[in-house]
Amino acid sequence: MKTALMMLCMLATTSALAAELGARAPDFTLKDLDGKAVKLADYRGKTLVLEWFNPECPFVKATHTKGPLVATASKHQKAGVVWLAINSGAPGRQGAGAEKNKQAVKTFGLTHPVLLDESGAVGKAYGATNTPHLFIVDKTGTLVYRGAADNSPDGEGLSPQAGALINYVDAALSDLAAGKPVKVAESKAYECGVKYGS
Amino acid sequence: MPDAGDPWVATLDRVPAGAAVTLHTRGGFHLNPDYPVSFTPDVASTAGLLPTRVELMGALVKSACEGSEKLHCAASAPLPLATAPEHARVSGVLAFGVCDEHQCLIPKVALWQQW
Repeated sequence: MKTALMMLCMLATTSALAAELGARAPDFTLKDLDGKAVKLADYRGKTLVLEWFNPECPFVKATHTKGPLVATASKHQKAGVVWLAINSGAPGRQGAGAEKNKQAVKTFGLTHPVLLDESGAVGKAYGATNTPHLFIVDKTGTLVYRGAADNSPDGEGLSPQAGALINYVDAALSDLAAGKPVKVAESKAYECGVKYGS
Repeated sequence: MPDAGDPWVATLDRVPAGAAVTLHTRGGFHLNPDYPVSFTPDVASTAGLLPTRVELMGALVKSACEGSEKLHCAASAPLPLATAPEHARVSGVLAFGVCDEHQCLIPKVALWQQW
């Protein structure tokens, strides 16, 4: 009986931490590249985009220089959307560390902060598997989208799957701005794996 | 010409039906199954290729990596030539993805053949 109760408690804890569509997005506090703490809870009441990031992943480079994330964040920031990139790479792994990410902010012309999640705890709580991997949290704090930036797995928008090119992030943010439910709430994230430490 | 340090070899060859591209990985890399393999003919290509980018994913014949059932280390696909390349140049850029346990790469390799 005691063992069964312990198992139930463990399941409840896991469930509370795991990000599920339609459920409250897991809270977190991470530091940006200048060491300043950033809390998800500080952005309640705003639409939020979380972008899993690795500046040395070729698909991240492609999406930010040729594909669906070129100037996308700045466009939506002007409409009040908060955009945070998160690097869950462990120290020593590809694209990890403040200096590489500071350089990437300049190279890609990013207008949003990059947060470091070197333990990988936040990435795992959200189920982030790829870079880029996008999550959108609505104004109530509910996770309403997770998946790829678009339906073109080359990162350049040249290979839309099943027809026309669709920027899923643009579409989801447009739905939210119009007060509608997000039409496509989930898609398959593609390409580089998140470089977790374990 | 392939660079000896690259974890792939990409070639363009004459085959009975026309031309085909072939990929081999090496050094622990495998083909990225999600990346859309494509061939984009360049302006110098005179073999009657489609004038725009050609998606090859559906035409790829893949070979498994040694000791693996899930990963593929070689693949080949015919190029959809509108005319047989008798005395022609076939040239363009082959785009594909390869990964190992540490990283993924998305090479774009210029290939050409003169028949």
